[in-house]
Amino acid sequence: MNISGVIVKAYPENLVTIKQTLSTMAGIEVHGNNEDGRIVITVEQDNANSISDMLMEIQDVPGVLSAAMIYQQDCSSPN
Amino acid sequence: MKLTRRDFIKTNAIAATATAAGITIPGVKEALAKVDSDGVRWDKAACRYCGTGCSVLMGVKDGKVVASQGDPDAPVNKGLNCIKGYFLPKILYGEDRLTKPLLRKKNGKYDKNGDFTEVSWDEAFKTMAEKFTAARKAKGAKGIGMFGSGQWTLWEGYAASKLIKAGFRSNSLDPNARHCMASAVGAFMRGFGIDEPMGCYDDLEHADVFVLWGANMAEMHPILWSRLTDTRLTKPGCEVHVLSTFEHRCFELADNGMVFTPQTDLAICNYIANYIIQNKAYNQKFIDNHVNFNITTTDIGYGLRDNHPLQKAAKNPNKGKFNKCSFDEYAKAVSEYTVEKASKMSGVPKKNLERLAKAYADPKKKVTSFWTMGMNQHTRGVWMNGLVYNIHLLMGKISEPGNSPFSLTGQPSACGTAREVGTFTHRLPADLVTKKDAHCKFAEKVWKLPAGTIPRHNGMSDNAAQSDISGKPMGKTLIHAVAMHRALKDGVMNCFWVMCNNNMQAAANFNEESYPGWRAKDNFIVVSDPYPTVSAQAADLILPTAMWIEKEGAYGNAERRTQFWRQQVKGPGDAKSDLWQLMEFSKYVKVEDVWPADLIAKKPAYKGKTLFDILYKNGQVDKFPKQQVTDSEGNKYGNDEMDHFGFYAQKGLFEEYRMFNSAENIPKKGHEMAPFDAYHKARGLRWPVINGKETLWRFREGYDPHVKDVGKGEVKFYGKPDGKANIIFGPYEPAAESPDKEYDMWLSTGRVLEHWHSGSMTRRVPELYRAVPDAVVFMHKDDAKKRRLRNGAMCKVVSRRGEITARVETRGRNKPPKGLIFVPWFDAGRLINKVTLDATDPLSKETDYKKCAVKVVKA
Repeated sequence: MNISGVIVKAYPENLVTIKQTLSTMAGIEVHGNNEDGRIVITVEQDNANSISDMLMEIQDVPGVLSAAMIYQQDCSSPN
Repeated sequence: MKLTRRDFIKTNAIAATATAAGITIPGVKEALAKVDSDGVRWDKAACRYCGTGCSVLMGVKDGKVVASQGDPDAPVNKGLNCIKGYFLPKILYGEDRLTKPLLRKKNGKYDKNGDFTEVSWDEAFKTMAEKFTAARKAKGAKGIGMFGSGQWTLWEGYAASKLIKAGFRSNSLDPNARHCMASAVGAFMRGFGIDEPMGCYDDLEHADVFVLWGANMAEMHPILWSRLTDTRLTKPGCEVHVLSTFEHRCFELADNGMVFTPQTDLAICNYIANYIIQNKAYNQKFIDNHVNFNITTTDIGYGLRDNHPLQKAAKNPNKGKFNKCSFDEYAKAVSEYTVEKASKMSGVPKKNLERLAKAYADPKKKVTSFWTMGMNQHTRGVWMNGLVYNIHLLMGKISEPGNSPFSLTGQPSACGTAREVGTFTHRLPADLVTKKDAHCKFAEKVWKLPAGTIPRHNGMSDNAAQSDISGKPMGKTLIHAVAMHRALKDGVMNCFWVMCNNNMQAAANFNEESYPGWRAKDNFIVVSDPYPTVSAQAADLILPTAMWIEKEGAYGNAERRTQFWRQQVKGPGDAKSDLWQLMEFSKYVKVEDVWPADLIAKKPAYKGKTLFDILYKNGQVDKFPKQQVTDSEGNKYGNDEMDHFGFYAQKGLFEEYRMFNSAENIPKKGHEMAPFDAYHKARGLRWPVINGKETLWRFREGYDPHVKDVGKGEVKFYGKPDGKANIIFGPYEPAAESPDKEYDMWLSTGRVLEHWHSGSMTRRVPELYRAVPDAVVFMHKDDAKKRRLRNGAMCKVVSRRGEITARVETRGRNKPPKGLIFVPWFDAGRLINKVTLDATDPLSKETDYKKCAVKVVKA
């Protein structure tokens, strides 16, 4: 299991729709946003299902301007 | 409530992300306060990839990197990471890391056609020393060469410069930055007399208008793009203009997206200058006080071999001379570039061009222009960089917050190492050049060498020929990257050390130049790399490299920011850092094998010494004794080079380097840096650093401490003797190879978000590999249809030089116009440089990877 934090950016007028779309995607949780168009999400993926595929899917959501990684940690290893 | 491990990590992720976004999320802080650090040691490092220079935090436990995050305290990335940065730790742990030196051998002996066999470092260096000294004696200064890197740490580039220029007495040293930044450097020197951008990333928040000229920042500089996006979203009236030869992801944010025909950016730039003049929008006071007008020599050829028909046809091949002219003469020169002409040549509608010109011409709008490889990898790259400066200088929109012509870099230390340290054939540290006898003499004094050691560009010192170990006069000594591959093929150069880059994959015209040169029977090629790259496999000796945070390092990014990191973990097996390799190898070369007797006689103490004794055990580099490296919290870190050599080599090299850029008596001011220890404490500092204070905008009073004795807020371009910058007119001239009836399409090559350069690191990260496993041919659907190719079908891309096979992509993130294809170059299985042409900018010698003619057929 890999857990990461991502900031998604969008034009403010598209915020509601984009948040809805994101929250229907497997492994994604929307935690909050501000009015400028910044959304905080976490993405949980098991290693077989690539996180980077997911990131590309997020960037392909209509209206998404950018998706930036902030944090990642692999929690499958016993460290 | 007790947090599970999953909850704990997730809370960390939310907290870091919310902080970076500037958003408060209820409950997160309270939850975090209840848990400890999980036994992970966190420390900063500069990212290994691009020229943005993000800072990342590396979490190390039990000698292994287990977690990473964007550094919230870093001014560059403010806690953000791109997808490559996110998986950074994994580049250390690819399954095929090289851990032993490998030499081609047959029957127990070196053989060009032998199989790679494990050898000791001792055997590797003995073989190398024998080959390099023999070639140096037999063939002179160009008989050997080294191809270095804008990914070297500062001290690695510095140590290499000493080894090749002073030790081997050769100027056959060039970095891969020749392929990416040479045109930018050329324009800085011509325009301003000092290298690197005047502005900084703070311009991203200050500008009202952004113009992208041949830069796909969304994929190549994602973090800067993210800052630009923030400004566009939050600042009223902010607009974004994007120019490219094909539509890419930046067009999603663009208010004015423009796809132009390759090479016509020259015409567009001149049109904007013409618009400004016709509308009398220029800043009269600024140009009167701070600008000289010039016209450059035209018809300069294409940097091909001298016997190439295009070279023979040029009237003034390779001529860079420019001549002063009046404002009226300059105005007349640009006057032919009307909006009609620019629109017709470029294919960009008039209204889009006018909108762009108006943005530049509006005195109330602050404009920042960004560009990268689209402009540098251009047979008129130096001119083109200059044409953008012309626009900014006409308007006086320069050297202040938000008004900034900004050349972005592709590599993490193309600025810091390749350019500032001066690892180019013609350069020495801190903007000094081998063309100037006085600069060489200054370097010889700092390095404690007899006068005349460093080869001058023409082999002449004090008007006399420099003597050489070969017994012949030194002769002309300069040789740039592309010329090195040609010299290997021609047998002029016989030994070549490629370090920290993948030039067999990266250099243009693989089939006709690179491969035949490397595999010629008399040539001995050494490649130092962490992984078995295309280059390593084409070498005769492979040296396994400890990379990035497996050593103490320093990079310099595109905004003049110098950043340090400590060694976080150990390299695998016998892998050693580039610094270790350079210094250790120098122990195997005796001065008598590379210097003539009359030079040694000038410094008898050097008799019988090794290059190591002369270059690194010189009382300066070895000045700082072994010590324990710690951070401000007392955490301990290793330093494998210090353990091996017995002194703090990184510190000694950096402090000696500072004698070039920060001492009292230096020939060129303006590159000042802080003492070594200051950088381990800071999140980087932007030079010039004077009295511990960094400089954000250069050349303007109030920001730049070098600008004194002028009015408040006044400008002085102190890189030039008269304090004025050069506006230099250059016209449109066609590309080296344009589509014709048979080869009917333009080919542009470049990168994608997921992979960095040749992919030698990113393709070993499973997540990135899976996301984009192979290079594809981005193509317009009508062009595909015409050739009966469906999306996903295999096709052949064929030029006069070679071909590759790849899948057609008509619906991808890049949308080329009809008549152009885009193919990324990261894929070792589809070497697009078999197809490209090695045409270069005749002034910068940088290859134009963006333009050649191809045909596309069914595979």
